[in-house]
This record gives sequence, structure tokens and C-alpha cells, in this order.
Amino acid sequence: MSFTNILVDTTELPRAEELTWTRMPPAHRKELLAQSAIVLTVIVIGATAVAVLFPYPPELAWLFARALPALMVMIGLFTTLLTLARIRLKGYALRSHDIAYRSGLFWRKTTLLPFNRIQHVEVSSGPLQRRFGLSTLKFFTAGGRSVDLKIEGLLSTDAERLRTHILERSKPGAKSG
Amino acid sequence: MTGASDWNRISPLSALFFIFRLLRQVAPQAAPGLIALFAVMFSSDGIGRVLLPVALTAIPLLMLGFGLLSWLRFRYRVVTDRIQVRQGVLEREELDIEFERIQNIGVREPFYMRPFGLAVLAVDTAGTTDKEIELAGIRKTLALKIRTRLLEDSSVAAGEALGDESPEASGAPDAPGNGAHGATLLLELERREVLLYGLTANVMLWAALALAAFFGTGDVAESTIEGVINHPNVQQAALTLQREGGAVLLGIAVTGLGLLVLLSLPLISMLGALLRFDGYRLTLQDETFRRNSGLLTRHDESLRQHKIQAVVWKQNFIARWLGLINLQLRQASAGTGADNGPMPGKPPFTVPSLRLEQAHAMMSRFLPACDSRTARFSPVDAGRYLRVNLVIVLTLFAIPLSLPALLAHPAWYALLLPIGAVCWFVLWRMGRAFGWAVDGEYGYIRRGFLGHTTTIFPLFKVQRVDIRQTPVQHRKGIAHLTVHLASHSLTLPYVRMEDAVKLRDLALFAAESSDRRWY
Repeated sequence: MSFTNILVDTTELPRAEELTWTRMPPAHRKELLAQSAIVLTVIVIGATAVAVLFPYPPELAWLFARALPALMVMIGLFTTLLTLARIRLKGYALRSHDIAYRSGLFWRKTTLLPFNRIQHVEVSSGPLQRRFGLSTLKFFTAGGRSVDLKIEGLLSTDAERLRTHILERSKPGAKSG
Repeated sequence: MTGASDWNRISPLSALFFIFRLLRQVAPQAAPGLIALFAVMFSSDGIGRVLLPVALTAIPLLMLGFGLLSWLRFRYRVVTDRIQVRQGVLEREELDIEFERIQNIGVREPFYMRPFGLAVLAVDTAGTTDKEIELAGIRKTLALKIRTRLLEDSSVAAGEALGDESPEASGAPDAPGNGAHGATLLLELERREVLLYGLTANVMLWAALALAAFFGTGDVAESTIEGVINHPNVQQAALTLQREGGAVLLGIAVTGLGLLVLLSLPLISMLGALLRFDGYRLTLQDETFRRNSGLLTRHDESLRQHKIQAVVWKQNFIARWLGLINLQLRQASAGTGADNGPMPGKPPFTVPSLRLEQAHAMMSRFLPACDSRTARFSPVDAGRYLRVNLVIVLTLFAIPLSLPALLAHPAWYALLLPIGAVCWFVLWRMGRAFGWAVDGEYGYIRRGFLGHTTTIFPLFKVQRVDIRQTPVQHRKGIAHLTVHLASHSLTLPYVRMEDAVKLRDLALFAAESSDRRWY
């Protein structure tokens, strides 16, 4: 059994706080805006259908024809604003041995994932994402119930490049470059 | 694919094993429904009465059929570097497991197989698949031989048949590595200590949880009771009781039953411990830990040292009072993302009922160069933890109390005082229990309430680290840290940001600079 007990000077450690974050591409914002637009359209159509077809008593017209649709549209707009705010805080940083990802508006979360713990990497893209040339990059490690780290809204070319690069690095015995 | 000739069958006795396994899987969900079904059938006069005997014969017959079919369709073989199994009654399934991926190999002898010298070999993998192979009803000698081969192929040899009192143990002459030489006996438990483990383990909690789950299926239980009550005779009896002031009696009976159940929990727990850990022996040979235990079914489990992802040091308040510690060895396992415990149905490798010095000595066996005596714990911001959570809990209680308080009398809000006092005590204890330490190449994360649970893990085996904070916490320099291991995840709430970053960077440095195998 050969066990080494390295003494580490914690002030010398590379600090994950001193990262330069790469922001998401503008196409991601467009994609999310398009998504919001679709949802809002569905809401408006639904509300119109209710206002026209639902046999509500005339004295409740203010509720069904005005208040409810207005509330739903407001909620839709509000979530869109939140999404936009969230994008501004999203970002990733690639270091020689790990990848960092931060997200979240209220709960700000930073994840650090060492390359040599990655089991496999997956690139996927939904119909809307494809329209904007975007992809989602997913990382899996051992013991996780599901995906361990998911970066949405990367340019497909970047996602592919990242995947190749990270898989290369996650091989056992890979050296830093 | 080679021909079917080299595929082996298992003993017909395995049909029993398949039936028991089915029962174990299905019973918890099906039991309330079945009880209700039988209650309804039993109480009705017409078609139900006819259906009852049909159901009583059909269900066992169906299960027997399932068991026999499972046996008939089960084939296995061990080829150069892998073990393959074909199984499945309705759906054909083929499992193919490379020796490399195997995390844990267990041999156990269920009571109905012991007289025939048969055993069950369980192969457990982890990572991307949670499939587990169980070869039931193969000769014990063969099971031990396969295990030796699997362990050898994954580069570490295993000790054989040591410490097994059963006469079959000597019947493995051709098993390589056979013999007691080189194996070190680490721990042997007397029955008294096993019973004490029953008191100190969380088995009690599991039993309570099982009960809660049972009663949690409220609609089913309710309809059962309703079905029984609606039956004329019962209704009459209930009416009579009610006339005689039976409501009180009924209440007392229900309360008494509840108390009885609560009191019997420790007994059930001790019985469980006895069943699982009677005759407990832990040995070490060639970096492989082996555990032998069990009253009716003998369990023989092996675990290689380098597969240990973390050791959980558990001491609840009873254990603390008795001065005992239980250790759990955690391995990589698929499907465990949660903070607490391994996945249901797969108990961790437990080393129970240790005295303090014994536990420290054991720690350095499980995690080389780990000195659990020297770790110095740093606290979290317990004050903030207490304040924030108390406000949340009290708000949650205040909302439902508002209704009677506004409608009837504001005095209802006074209830918040005792609730607040209890919550304050619980949160105060919990906040103070949280702590972390880094000592040598190991990380320690502690939590608890009346007792303590400390997880000790090699820093280099960390898989991923998350730090979360709200904007307010960001301003106050506080964060929640989650360390993900291949076995389970640990969260340290309300830790100082600089501490969180320090622990994270140390773990990342260890993980990234090490080329040792973490699995």
C-alpha cells in the first residue's frame, strides 16, 4: 500500500473564484425569447377560447374576459423577464482539469466538475434549439441519479468542441495542456 | 454468440427464491389493497364469497407459476472477463457484466437452501447501470469459486471460506486461495452486542417509516376500514359499543394499539439485528474485507478496500448513552443522489457496536492513514441556521393557525409558543451539530441532532462540488456546500463562504492531481 500524505498550502491552491466566465451566446437569448413567445401565444389563444366559448354568466365578464387573461399574460411576461435576468448570470469556465458552471437567479449555484470524474458526455438539441443552432451539453459522473451537470444553450459547434476536448481530458492518465 | 450449451441452469429450489423476491418487491404496495379486497370479499354474501376461495387458490398458484417460469428461463455463464445472465418471465432480459465493473459480491445462504448446500451469489455493479445479478440456488462451493474468480479477475484476490461455521465451508477444496492463512480477524460480535446494535441502529426509524408508508396509503386503509364498518355485523357491534359509551373504549383501544406498536419497535429492531448480524465476523485478507453473519440466512459479503467511497460514523443518542459506534462502509452505487442513506433494499456494509477505541482503530483499516482522533471540526453559522429556519417553520405553522385565530379567538396564536420552543431546541441542536474538517487526505462532514453522523471520505474520490447561495447569503458570506461522492451526497448548510471555497478547492485539488483509481 503506497499512500502519500501531501501537505497542501491552501493559500497556494488554485481558487475557483478567480475564474473568467464565458457567457452564453446571444442565440440562446433569442431561443428563450422565442420559447416565451410561443408560450405566450398559446396562453393568449387559450384565454381567447375561454372568453369566447366558456358560458360564464355576464356579470363575471370582467373576470373571464379581462382579469384572468391579463393575469396570465402578466405572469408570462414576468417569467420571461426572469429568464432574461437568469441568462445574464449563466456562464461556464473551462480550466485545464475541470469545468465550472454557474446558474440561478435566486439560488445562485456554482458547480465544479473534475474531468477525471466524468463517466460520459452527451450532446442533445431540441427542435427549437436546432432552429437557433444550439445544443445542450450533459455530463454524467458516478453515483448521480441523473445528469450531474447540464449546460443549455451552447452553440452546437462549441458543444461539440467542448465534448471532444473534455472527453480527451477525462481519459485516465490524460495530462493537462 | 456461442451456442446454448455453455449456459448453465440453477437449482429448481430457486423458484422459491424468485417467489420470495417477488413478494418482497410487491408486498409493500399490494398489501393494503389485498387486505381491502379480502375484507370486501369476506363480508359480502354473493359473488364475493365465491371469489374468495378462487382468489385464495389462484394467487399462490400464480406465484408458483411465476417462480417455476423464472427458474425455467434463467441461464447464466461465466466467460473470460464477464458474467452473463439470461432471465425474465414476460420480458426476456440479458445482462452482461464485466468483472471490472463489479463493486460488491455477496454469497448468502437462505434457510431453505442451507440444508441442500445451495447459496445465492449476488453481484452488484454501480455507475451507469443499477442492474444487479443474483444467481440463486447454485452450489455453495461453486458460488465461492465464482466469487474468488471474480475478485481475482478484478485484480485483488479474496480469502476463502474463513470463519464460516457451516459444514459446507470445508467442501471447497478446489477453490483457489482457499484456507485461513493470511486473513486477519478484525471483529467478532457476541449476541449481546448484536442486540445492542438493534437498539442503536436506525432500524427503529425504518420500521416507523414503513408504518408511516403503510398508513400513508390513507385512502386504501380508509376504504378498508369503511368496508369493514359497513359490514352489518361489525356495524351492529360498533353501534352497540357506541351505545355503551364505546366511543371512549374504541379510542382507548386504538391508542393502546398505537402505544403497543411504538413499544414493540425496539423489539422488532433487535430481532432484525439478530436476523442479520448474529454470529458477526469481520475479516481482512489481501485488502478485502469479509463479513459473515446471519441467523437464518447466512450473509457472506466481500468489499475491497479501494472500493470504499466513504465511511459513515454513526452514533445516535442511545448509542451515545451506551458508548457505542456503528460504522457504515459506502460504495459507489447507482441511483443514490439523495443526502440520506443508500437506495432502499440495499443495506450498506455495516460494522456495528464498536467501542470508541475500536472504532478509531477500524477507521484506519478502512481508510488507510486516516486518524479519526485528530480531526478538528469547524462549525457552520449555527445562529443564522437557527434564525432563518425558525422563521420559516413558524410562518408555516402560523398560516393554518390564522384561521381559528381570526374566526374564534386570537389565543390560538399562543400555540406558536410551545411549537416554537420545540423547534428552537431541535434547530439549535442541529445547527450546532453541523461541522466540517480536513485532516490529511480525508474530508469530514458532520451532522446530527441528539447524536452525530459523520461522513469521512477520501478527498480525491470527490465527484463534483456545488456551492449555492441566495443573494442575501452572498452579502453575508454564507453558502450551502454539497459534496457529491460516488456513494452519496453530503450537504453542509450555512457554512462560511471562505470555508466552502477552501473545502471545495482542497477536494478538487486532491481529485485532479491524483491518478489513483477512485472506483
